[in-house]
Amino acid sequence: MSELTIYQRITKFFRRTILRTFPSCKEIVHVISASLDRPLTLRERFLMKLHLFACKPCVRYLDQSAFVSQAIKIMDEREKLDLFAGSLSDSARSRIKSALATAS
Amino acid sequence: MIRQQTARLAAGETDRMDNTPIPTVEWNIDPAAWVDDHGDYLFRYALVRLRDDVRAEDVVQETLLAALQHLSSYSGRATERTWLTAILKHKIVDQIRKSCKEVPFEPSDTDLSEFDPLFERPDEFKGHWSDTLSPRIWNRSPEDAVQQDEFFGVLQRCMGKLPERVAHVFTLREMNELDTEEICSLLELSTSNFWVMMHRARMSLRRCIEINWFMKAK
Repeated sequence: MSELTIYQRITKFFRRTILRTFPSCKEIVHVISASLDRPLTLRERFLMKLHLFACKPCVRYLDQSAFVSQAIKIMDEREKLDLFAGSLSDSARSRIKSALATAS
Repeated sequence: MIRQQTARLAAGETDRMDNTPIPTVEWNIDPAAWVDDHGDYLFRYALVRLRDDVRAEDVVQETLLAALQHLSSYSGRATERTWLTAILKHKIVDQIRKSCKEVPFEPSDTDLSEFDPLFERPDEFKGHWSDTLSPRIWNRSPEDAVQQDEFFGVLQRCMGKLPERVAHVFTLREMNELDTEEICSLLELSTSNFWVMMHRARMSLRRCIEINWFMKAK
């Protein structure tokens, strides 16, 4: 039991040291955002991994931002197929039809 | 013989007992039916990218007219819808380029100061998430959210709050899957501005759906 406490205290010490010594959340969130778009450089990857070990809110930022990306893609798929997302207005429909008729 | 085949086709594919391949779409192409067959699909495809009814209608019209002009280039290998969608993609990109030309580049598009309060702390951990404004543990499950129409309504409203150019950059990247260089040259952006705008969109959207969906009681 006491050993676990020592382990926890060591971890806590490392976490705080990382947060104090290395780039802050404000800088790391840029790297996290970029990680969703492009391969990171070695240096970026190292800093991000290290930071994520120390910082729970940033882990959530990564997971939740990845979810946003995924949700946008799901929305795109659904919108195309679901009528709830809207349809051509009657005026546009007849306008386009007559434009097509004139052109053909 | 021909009449028999036509009658069979008219009766629908469900009556077919044999496994002969379905006739190719090549000789089914019918511009007069495009609006009814694919109009709504193309409109929604454009609407989710342009977020503007009038512009979406315009690109659908442009697309069908362009398709009509280039009927001969249709190989029949893709379905009619896939072919029309490919043309639509180009028209949407043109439309976005045009509308970004009209609006001059705002320095505020790359201004991240609105997020400063999220990283203000009283203690020695400068630049780390504020205790009250950091990303929360969400109350509602993301898996459930993507099953619900209301969630996508919230997501759309959140997209609508982004500055226009930021939203265009984000959708071009996420939905059209254009690569970074293509988007930068299309919208005349520097790479660093591109990354700042992508980051801005991600920060805003995550926070917006957190406040308006995930932390709300059901």
